[in-house]
Amino acid sequence: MDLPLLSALFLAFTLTLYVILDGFDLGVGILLLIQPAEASRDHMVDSITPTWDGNETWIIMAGVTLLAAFPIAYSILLPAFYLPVILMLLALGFRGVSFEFRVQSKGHRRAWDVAFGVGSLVAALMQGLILGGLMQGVTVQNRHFAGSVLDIFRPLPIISGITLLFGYAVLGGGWLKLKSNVSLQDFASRALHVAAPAFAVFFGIACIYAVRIQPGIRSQWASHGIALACLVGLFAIAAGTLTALAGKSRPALPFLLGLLLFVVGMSGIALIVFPEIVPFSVSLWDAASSSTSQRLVMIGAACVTPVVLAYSAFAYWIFRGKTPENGWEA
Amino acid sequence: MKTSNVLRRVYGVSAALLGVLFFFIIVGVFGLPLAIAGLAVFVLGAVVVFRAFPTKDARL
Amino acid sequence: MKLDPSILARIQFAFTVSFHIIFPTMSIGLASFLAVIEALWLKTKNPTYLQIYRFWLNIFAMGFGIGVVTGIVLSFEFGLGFARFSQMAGPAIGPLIALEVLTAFFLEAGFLGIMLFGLHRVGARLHFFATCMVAGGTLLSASWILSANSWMQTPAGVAIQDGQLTVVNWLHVLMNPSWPYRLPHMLTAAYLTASFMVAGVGAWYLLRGKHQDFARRTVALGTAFATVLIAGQVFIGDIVYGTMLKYQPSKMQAAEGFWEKQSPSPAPYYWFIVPDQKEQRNRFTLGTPYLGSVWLTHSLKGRVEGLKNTPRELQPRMAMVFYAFRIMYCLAMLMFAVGVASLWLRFRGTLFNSRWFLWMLVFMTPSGIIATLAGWYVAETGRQPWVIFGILKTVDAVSPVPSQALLSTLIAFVCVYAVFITAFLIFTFRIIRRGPVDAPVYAEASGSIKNAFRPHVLDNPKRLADSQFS
Repeated sequence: MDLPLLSALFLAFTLTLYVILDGFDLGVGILLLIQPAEASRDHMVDSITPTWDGNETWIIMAGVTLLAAFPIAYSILLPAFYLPVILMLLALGFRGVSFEFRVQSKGHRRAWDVAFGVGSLVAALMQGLILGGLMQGVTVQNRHFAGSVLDIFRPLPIISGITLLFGYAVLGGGWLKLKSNVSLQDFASRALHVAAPAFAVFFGIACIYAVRIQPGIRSQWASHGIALACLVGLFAIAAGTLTALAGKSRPALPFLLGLLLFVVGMSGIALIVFPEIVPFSVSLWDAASSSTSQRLVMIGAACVTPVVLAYSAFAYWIFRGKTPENGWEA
Repeated sequence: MKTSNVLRRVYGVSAALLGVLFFFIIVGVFGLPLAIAGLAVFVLGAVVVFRAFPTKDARL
Repeated sequence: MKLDPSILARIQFAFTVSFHIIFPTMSIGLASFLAVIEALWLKTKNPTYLQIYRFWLNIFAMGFGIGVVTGIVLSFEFGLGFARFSQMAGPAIGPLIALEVLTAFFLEAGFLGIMLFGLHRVGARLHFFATCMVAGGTLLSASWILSANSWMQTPAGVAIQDGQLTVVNWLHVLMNPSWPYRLPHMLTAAYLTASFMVAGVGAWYLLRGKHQDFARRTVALGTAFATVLIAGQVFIGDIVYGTMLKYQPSKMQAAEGFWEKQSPSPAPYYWFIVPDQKEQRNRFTLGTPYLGSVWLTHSLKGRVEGLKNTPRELQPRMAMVFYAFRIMYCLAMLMFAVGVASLWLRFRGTLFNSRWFLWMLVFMTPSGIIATLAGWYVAETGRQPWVIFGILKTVDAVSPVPSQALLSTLIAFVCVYAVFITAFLIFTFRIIRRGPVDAPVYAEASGSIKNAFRPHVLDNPKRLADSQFS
């Protein structure tokens, strides 16, 4: 277990946390677009308002860990994904400011809700696009990006974008079942009925397409076939269970199943990508910064992350239970 | 305290000139030790004014 | 039209970072202001303080949100526009920013929810703790990022080998030569910004004869803080000046407007110049005699070093650095004058009814923001042509991204950010027009930590109100 491996584990940890935590935030945002009643929309946003900022911070942690521990990968991947990253940042920007602006704007709340929803949707799409682009592989020459910024707009990234969109919708629906009042339970169940199977289907298409176009992935399947097959199977079972039980289960189950779907998915991706960090050209060790930098990141991470998790959990606990009907302010 | 208009003007201009002097001292025109001293005197003087001449809603 | 990618990348970063800095500057200042106000409320139970808290909390929340999302942009923009810089500097500034995220961003974000929405769910003390944690988070955040930027200005603690940087001493990287002075300078700038914002809005109400209690309190507090802070700021400013003169002489040479290696003696202080970088001279100057020597050499006859002391290809653009510095410095002098005037008016007992002074405060409301922006332009344009001073030039730092992509995304940023700031201003002016509202009765020290354990109390306002009188 050496430093680059530890840093990579931490990076994977931050990415997974981001995807799960902001996943349901973005999911609720996406579902906002198909909710016609303003009071319900208020309630949906209220359910994610107190904790969204902390959730979103994990993506900054991931990006900055990449910069600190694997600067070569950072400097290749960001220009490679230039357009989707910028679109994602702008979309996250709209989503973020809409929290406050929709409250201030009584007359144009619907417009800000659309901004919120579209921002969430575009952010989800772009994140999926980037994931697909990663799987597709980027052109690297001499430790620098040597491809075109338009390479990302190809079938696999686009399918991945749609996959993640439905995936986040699943998480969002699960969160709503957990946190929202009686009037939204039905809405959440119907959303899950559509999103869960769609997620599974597109996930399947993405997997198959990825194997077809990227020899690196084919060889990973060859060496880790059984593990990957098990993960796919587990994914299918979980998705099936979620679809079947969406309407009639205990409040926490859909959300937990959604989490399981994502953990399974991330594990599969990790299995395929490792030991590269820029698939399939640059390995973790090639992209790593010197050990002095890695060490500082690891020490900081080891000391501070438990504290962060503790008070983040505390914040969630303060706002536990069903979201109040009239919001958080009196 | 009733003072004539002229005297008040004189006091006002003196205060302004004193302010300019403090500015020059604090930016270090007369050296670092005096700048530190000038800063300390200015801040303490300000706090004295806050306490000795409280605004009509009191407390600072 | 063929536009140079390095120019476009610079313009894009300059635009996004300029826009961004406005908001953390406000947030750092307002967060600490809110902590002070909440402390005063807890101590005195005076409802005016709660009014002040709730009023500025709304504006703070909006600004904080914009600050966060525009800040996320920057953490990726290093790589988007300046990939070669990221590859080189990543080992040094990457861990610093990582620690910023870990110790500061999460802290702010974690407690912000409680600060904004927890007034009814947690006791007064825990809520105050949350406010303090957010304020502390902003302070920590500033510390780390100032260290990273200061390292770019005065790099230390690294060894270079085949274009790769290795950190050899973290203490030297973190506490690089300019950080200990630039950090207090920036923090004071943020606190000054909040002081003038708060005083300006209060003055506006006084001029209109509305919300007297609120307005008097905020004008008194704002001017008091501003007076003490500006004195400290001009002191630290001079120290920062001396530090940068030592480590980045080209920046200060450009800042003063002199070209010749040695200026005439005594040297004037230039207020207005028309510089010609190509011909290395000024076409026109307007200055105060003797003042240059006095302020810049602390003597009556001293000579100032001009930009020709730096080789041409390493010179920053004088026009930008000079005017940015003048704007910042003139605003500082204006702030100092306002501070002195406020002391005088307190002495005379007319702080709240001198209309000329109140108008001055209103006019100075955005002064902190403008001065901070100007100061940052001195810092960043004065460092050119370097991005890491003495190590990496900006032109060698850009990403392999085509100009069209840079241009189209630049336009996208301008459009989106225009929406953000327009909305922010409209809503802020609306909040100001509406004025502070009376806080509902059960916001006062609502519940206690024990109520936080009893959700059936929290979700029922009547039971919550009852619980306080039991």
